[in-house]
Amino acid sequence: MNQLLQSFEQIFIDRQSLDSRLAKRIQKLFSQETIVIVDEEPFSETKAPLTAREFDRSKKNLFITPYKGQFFKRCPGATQKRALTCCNYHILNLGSQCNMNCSYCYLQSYLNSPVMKMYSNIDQALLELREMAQNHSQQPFRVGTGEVIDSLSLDPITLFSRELIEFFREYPCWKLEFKTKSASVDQFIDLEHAGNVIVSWSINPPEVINSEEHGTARFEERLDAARKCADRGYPIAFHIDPMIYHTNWRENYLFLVEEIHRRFRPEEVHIISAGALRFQPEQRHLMRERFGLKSLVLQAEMHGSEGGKLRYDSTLRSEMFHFLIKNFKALDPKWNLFLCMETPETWISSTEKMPMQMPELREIFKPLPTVRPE
Amino acid sequence: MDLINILHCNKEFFELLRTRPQGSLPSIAWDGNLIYFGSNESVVNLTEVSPKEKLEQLKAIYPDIGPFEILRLHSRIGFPQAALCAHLHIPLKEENELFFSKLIQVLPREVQDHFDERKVKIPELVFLRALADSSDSESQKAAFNVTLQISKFALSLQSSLKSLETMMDLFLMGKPIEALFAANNATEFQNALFQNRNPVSQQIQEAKQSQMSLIHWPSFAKAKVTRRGDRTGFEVQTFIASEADLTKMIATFERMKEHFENSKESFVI
Repeated sequence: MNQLLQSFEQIFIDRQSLDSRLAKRIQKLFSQETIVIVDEEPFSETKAPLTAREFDRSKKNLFITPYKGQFFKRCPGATQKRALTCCNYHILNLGSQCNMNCSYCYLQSYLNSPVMKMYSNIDQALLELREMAQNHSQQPFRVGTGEVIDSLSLDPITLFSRELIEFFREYPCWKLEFKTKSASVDQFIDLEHAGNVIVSWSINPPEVINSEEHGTARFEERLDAARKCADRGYPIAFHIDPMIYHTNWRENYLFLVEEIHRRFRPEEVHIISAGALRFQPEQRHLMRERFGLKSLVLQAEMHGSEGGKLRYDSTLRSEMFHFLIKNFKALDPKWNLFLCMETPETWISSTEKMPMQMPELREIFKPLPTVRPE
Repeated sequence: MDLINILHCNKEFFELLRTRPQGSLPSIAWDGNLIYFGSNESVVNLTEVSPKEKLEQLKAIYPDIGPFEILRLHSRIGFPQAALCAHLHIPLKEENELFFSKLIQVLPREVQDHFDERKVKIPELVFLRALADSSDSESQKAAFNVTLQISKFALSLQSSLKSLETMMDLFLMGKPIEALFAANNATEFQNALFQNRNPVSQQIQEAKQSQMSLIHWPSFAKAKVTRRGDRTGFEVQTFIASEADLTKMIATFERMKEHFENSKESFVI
């Protein structure tokens, strides 16, 4: 916790948030010299797009403020239905920016705010969910909180997980997913849950984590935290995403597969998703400046794809997915895998099927009513 | 030669002298005086003009001045940052000064002129910011001599930008880029760049090429391996004059299907 608190240079609290539970907790955790009460967003003179230096600075300055928009949205994958096969994920944004520092992070092309934000009005977010529940409480909605912020890395500060787990106990048909690269689970592990809170880890082989995922929990730490959650009856999930091509990719991803298989049973792991490195073309400039060409991500051979993102050659992607799926299934056919944000062509060439043709995935990919505009 | 304050020049006179040698300030009269210095850079006397007016005055008489030319002048007389950034269409940031000086220090003059002629916009060169964290401009300058191939082969703006970015990546990856001097024409040069930057993709294309040679293509179809973004495949050219041609073609392609599957490329990436 101390290390987490010390990673911030300054905490800004919006005057409108002063009475919130989050602001009160922040004021207890941080020294008074670190905290500044403000009436508007700090560094607001900084105009987008952020430079490398401004982006780095944004990770060290936390702004507590109410969110003024709509908390609950559909996953961006759903907006590219023509190009991608998407799994009906919904997202609940409780903040933006991340205190960790992955070379490939898509926030580098997405964020234009010079500070990290945590929203103080989680009650409003829960109200939105409750409204949705009036009509759809029996639909199998999957809601994730890790789109523009890691679900758990700041959770020891915010404790949002506790409020969400309590809330989702009322709606057992829905699933809540925390998605993280941290090992921060102790702050909620004691809670009773309805078995519908999936704690998931974005994971890569140690070589990739050490090279590309700076400031994150190491490979062992993530798997240990996952074990802790599984032992408390939480369904867990792994997102092997983004898979990153490198010289020893076969042996390193095989090691990852074997380690997951050695430590977990397929019944404990709700799903394993896989995705390959992809990013918006304009993002490469900031990435290059921030991480240099020693990064495996910057050395990657990327090509324009349908939908506009840069991706590996489709043959290479299929080869990587096929390798991963083949090795999981060889160890135990019950491992449940799917591809994230991939084209129908890659699904076919990697798995020889579309997800709706696979009984174990049909439930996830089955279209759901649209409750929020895309 | 004494240069005259830019405010005193006869601007109407310049309207008649729109043409200029490519890549340098125009050889023009300056209130009756010639201020062209042969092959050297021209310098206008802007020192007595207020900082705010310098850039505006310059643009008033040289409307076609290219961004590299502006940056070279900036390095000598110093335009105000805000006006300069607004002119170059880039956000005002403190890191810009280093970026600007890298642009004119590292790229050979011929390449700068080439980009001015191709009407480059500075935001299109933003990838070169990656060079700005190294103070070793001399070694960068030496390595970037090979970018002369861009001007030598008179590449289009988009090809020039893509080639320059690829060369920078290769340089930052520590790959020897001087070998690119060996290319004799634009196609050879661009192929060499692709192969050096994308060895795995190249391997995939070569495997497709092998697959293509194993397939018995019908006489009416001419196939070649093509990359379209992240996919490599066969571009097939054919000719249909009648419905009968179409029926025949469909039947022949149908028979090819099994053969196509069997010839799938096998290689280890």
